[in-house]
Amino acid sequence: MNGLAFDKLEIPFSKGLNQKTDARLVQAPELVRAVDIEFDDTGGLRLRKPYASIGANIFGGGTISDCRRIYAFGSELILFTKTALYSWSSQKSAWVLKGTHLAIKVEEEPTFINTSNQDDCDRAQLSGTVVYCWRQTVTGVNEIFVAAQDATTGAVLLTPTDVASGARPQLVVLDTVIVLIYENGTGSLVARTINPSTLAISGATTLLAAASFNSYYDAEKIPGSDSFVLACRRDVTTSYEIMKVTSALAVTTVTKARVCDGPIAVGCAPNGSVVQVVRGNGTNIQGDLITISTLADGAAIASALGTGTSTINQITVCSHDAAGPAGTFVAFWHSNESTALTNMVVAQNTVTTGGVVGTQTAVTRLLGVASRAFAYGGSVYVWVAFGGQSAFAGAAPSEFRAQLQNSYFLYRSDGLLCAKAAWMHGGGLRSTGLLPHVELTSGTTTFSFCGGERRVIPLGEIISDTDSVRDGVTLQSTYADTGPRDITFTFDSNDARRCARLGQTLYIAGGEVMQYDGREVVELGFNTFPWYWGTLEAAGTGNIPAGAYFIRNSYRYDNAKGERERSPSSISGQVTIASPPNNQFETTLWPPLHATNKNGVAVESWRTAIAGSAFYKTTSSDPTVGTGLNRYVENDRTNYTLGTFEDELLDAALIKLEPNPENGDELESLAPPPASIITASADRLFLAGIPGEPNKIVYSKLRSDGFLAAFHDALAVLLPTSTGAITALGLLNESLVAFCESAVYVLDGSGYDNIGGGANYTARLVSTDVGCVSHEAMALIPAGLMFKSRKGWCVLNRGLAVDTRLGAGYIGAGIADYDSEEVYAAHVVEAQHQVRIVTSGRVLVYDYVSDGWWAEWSIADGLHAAIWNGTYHTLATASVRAEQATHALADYGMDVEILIQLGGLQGFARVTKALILGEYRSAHTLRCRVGRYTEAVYFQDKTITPTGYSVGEELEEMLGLAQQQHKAIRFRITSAPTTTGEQLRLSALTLKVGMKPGIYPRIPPAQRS
Amino acid sequence: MPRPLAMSTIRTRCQQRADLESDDHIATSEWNSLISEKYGELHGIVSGAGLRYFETVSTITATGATSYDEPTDHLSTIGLDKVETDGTRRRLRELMVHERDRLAGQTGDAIGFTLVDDQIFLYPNPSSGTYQLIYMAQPPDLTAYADGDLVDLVNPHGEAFLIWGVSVLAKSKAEGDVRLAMEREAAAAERLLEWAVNRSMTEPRTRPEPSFTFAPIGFDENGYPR
Repeated sequence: MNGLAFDKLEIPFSKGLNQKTDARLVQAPELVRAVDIEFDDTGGLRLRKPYASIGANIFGGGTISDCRRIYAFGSELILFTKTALYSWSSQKSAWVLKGTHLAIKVEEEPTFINTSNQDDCDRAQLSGTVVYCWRQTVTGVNEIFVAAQDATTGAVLLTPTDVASGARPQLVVLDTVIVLIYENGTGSLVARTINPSTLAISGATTLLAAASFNSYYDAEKIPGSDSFVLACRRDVTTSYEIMKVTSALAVTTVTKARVCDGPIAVGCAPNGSVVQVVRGNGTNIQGDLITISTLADGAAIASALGTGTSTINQITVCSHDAAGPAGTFVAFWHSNESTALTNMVVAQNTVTTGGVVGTQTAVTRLLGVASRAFAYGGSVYVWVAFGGQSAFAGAAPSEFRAQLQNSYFLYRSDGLLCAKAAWMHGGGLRSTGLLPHVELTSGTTTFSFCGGERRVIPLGEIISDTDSVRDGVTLQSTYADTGPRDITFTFDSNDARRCARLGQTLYIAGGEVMQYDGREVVELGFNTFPWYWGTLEAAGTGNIPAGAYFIRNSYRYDNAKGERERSPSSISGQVTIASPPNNQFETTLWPPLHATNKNGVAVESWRTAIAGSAFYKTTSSDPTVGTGLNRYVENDRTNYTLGTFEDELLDAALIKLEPNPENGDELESLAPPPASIITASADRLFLAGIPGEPNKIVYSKLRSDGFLAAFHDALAVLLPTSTGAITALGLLNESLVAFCESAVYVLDGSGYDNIGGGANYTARLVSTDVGCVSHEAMALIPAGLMFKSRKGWCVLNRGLAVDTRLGAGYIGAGIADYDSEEVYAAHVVEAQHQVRIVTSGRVLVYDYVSDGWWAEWSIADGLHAAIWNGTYHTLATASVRAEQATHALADYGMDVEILIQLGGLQGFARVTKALILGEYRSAHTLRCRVGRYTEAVYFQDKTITPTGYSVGEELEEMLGLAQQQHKAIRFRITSAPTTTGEQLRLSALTLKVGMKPGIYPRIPPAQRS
Repeated sequence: MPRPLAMSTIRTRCQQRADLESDDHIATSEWNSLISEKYGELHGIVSGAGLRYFETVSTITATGATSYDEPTDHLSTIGLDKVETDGTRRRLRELMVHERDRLAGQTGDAIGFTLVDDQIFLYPNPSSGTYQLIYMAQPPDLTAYADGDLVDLVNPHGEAFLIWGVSVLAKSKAEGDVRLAMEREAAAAERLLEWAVNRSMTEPRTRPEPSFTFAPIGFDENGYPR
């Protein structure tokens, strides 16, 4: 009659999630579900605050869409969309466009390089196999080589194989085979098929005999057909050949009686119905629309697309994709190619299938087309190359020349510089009329092509170049042999939207590391520096004393924040003054900066005093002094060379002018390589994720106030490759921390100083079993650097050690079930001692005020986040949402679940009542679900509507249990607002429990033996 | 002096008394069955004391049939009367088992009856006429009651008896302490019984009427078979 001895079991809500512990061992008050709560009241649960869009309108019209990333940049909130960068204007309550940003990530690696000169490389990918081809000389004979590797693992499937004698190879990917086309050793144009599965190479089929073929050709797969179209120049250049070739190498040929005496290119319409043939006719660029099915002339023949400045060197043409204007082709060409300073220009024009020709525009200058054109996202792009040879036209250069500018640059047809590749070791200009294919190799945004790379002969070697054809001058350095470089680039990559602030400027990782100054987004550093110029003594009004003087030049850019960057000074040229007075230094040749999106770049000239070694600026710093002696020189991207500059400064005046920052041993300021990982300390910018160098960290020079970050190739650290690529960079205790795939390194030291003095960073391994999964999965908390490893969330503590044991450095037990979700962002919200982590499935919250409590927020569409003006903002695909100060807009409730072990592992107890304790905040319902051990199975589901409470009053609601004898019992409490509001704060759950003797009796008969 | 309460009211009072409001451990249907069970006991106490509180009448219209169905809620018989057209009544005598052959096979107005199994036999077998069975009904099965249906708890003692009794049952299911509830239930039962006894039909409150002045054929003046 006395019944069980009932007692109360009080469970304060004083812990967070625990998903790691065996469910039978989870100890209340740890939660097994904690949705939309936070722990602002220690020992209690609060509903998280709601979020509301700050506004989606774009200033000038439209609304934001395809949002990708947000960052706080000082007082600015910036937004990256798929293609642009915006800044939020509170006053306009709208997003203000700051510029195009295509977020291109570049990955690259040397492939099948050997000691020979491998040029005219191409690449084709089919069925997971990547085939490369190139030309190289074997005992003085041009040979075609083919090699293949696994597209995923990089395993070599076919070692470099000498296919045949020949030159000018190109690969075309069809549906079933890859076709190798080349000029054979006797001058015929031939083709072979390569089976992507067996890598068997067929015999050669002649496409055009040597008697007719004349070097230049271009081929492209016909969309929707297992065949390709090819056009080539004929031996007699009054006509050209166009042909269709099937995968079985069956050829249909038609000769077109139109002049083609230069390169020729083809570009098919997306539906495969027509092909645009673009050919060089003298210095003219002409286009013919050909019907593919019959190879008959189409509606527009000999369309005048434009002209070159001289000999046409390269042509490529491509149709717009479905996102672009229908029936429109874009052709690129460059002319008057030279390694010196000429009027070399990359131009473009459009032509429609109806023969409507657009207006020829210059895409860039002093660079050459280096790939076939390709379409993406409604635009057409092309890779161009810098192929200049540094030289001083005034006299023999007196110092080492610097061959540091050989790179590929990705341009959009409107002249936008988008990315760069093979930074400082690009393969240079291509053979005339032969361009590599750019293929879509993954998804809808990733493309690949095979460029070339060539090393710079180490400086200090003075050699004599005997290649009189090249330039006929004595060189002080030159390039090494070229080899294939596999270049893959991805548009719309969030790896190319990572940001770090240093000084007053925001730096953005990517295929071109960018700087954002609040005004615009442009590349950081200078992709080229004055590499070729000529200064002579000329007649003037000065009285420059006779003697030897040295001159060098540089570019300078001041961004909107007033921070300055300056290119390396070019090679120094020696000018000997022989006949004073009435003389001057006259510079007549110097290249503008073209590989840039910057406007307002200044060009500076520096000169020594007689027999001096220190350089002083001879160009004016005053932009209003645009004429006369020692004027201000502004960069001119519309020209090939800058105007004449006259210098008559005497030494006495000269040495009072601005000294060159490279006087002494100051390291040159180079542009950074492409990078996908970026972080900043107080005085340096650190980059990793460098294409082709996954274990390399480059760091900037020590930044002085008022200057932008600048780099130098000596400022780099290499980590061991055995621990995988670098995945993230962080800072802890003012030390740089490099996370690799399976290790953590702390970089001791302070790095080289700006003159290369001191010691480089040294990498110290602090963890051998965990690395970090991504640069986003990291946050600095009081305990150290919190990061997500393959094991889950861990902490690199302030002692720079990682102890991944549970209860030590492994802190991710609470949300271990969500470890498979991709981390998009992690931010510390200091005011609430929280780390908020946006993942692909939710927002995770880590409260580090106590033992570290985890909760999850039901924000499933989060893409990124930022703390701006002290407020946490989350990003969705078409909105930026700010955390609200109150719960007034909360239209969701909290959802918590707790599993209570009643009788140890296998004892049991009777639970008759549960009493919920909290604080009433607004009208709501409480759905109470009760179950046993099994997840998501409940024997009781009851909704309570608390009534009669006033705001702030203690809330107590009792629940009688429908089933009462349990080993373990789970309570799930889900609140829902009547309209909107905070609803309640949850403090505790108290059970009326009577312990039962013996072991749990409810064992099914089948389990009794 | 009935004490009718709605079923839902009774249930709520029971839950409150058992401190089991909002308790899904005992479903509403089970509460109803506990109430029904306990109401049966209440009924038994009242009826068992001889109080004609739950007496009811069932009319038999004679047709010459061999027997007639007993009412389905029949618990015990008080008497069976022939009701004349002018409203006067004549009490039939219940034939004992040893008198089973006394009037067998005869026809005419019945003067006696027997209850066998669930059938009522009239002797002699009447071909017409109205008869009424006065009986104590079974306590109703309250599990079928709607929340608004009224249940007569007789008096406050009956109410207390039922509520505390149900509380005992409910708390015992939850292995709770039922001591107070049992005490209260017992006290209420005692008061209810005393009340019922004081009013029972076996405790005359007036002198009995004189004997019948006439005797039917085959019966003496006291109505017993000769």
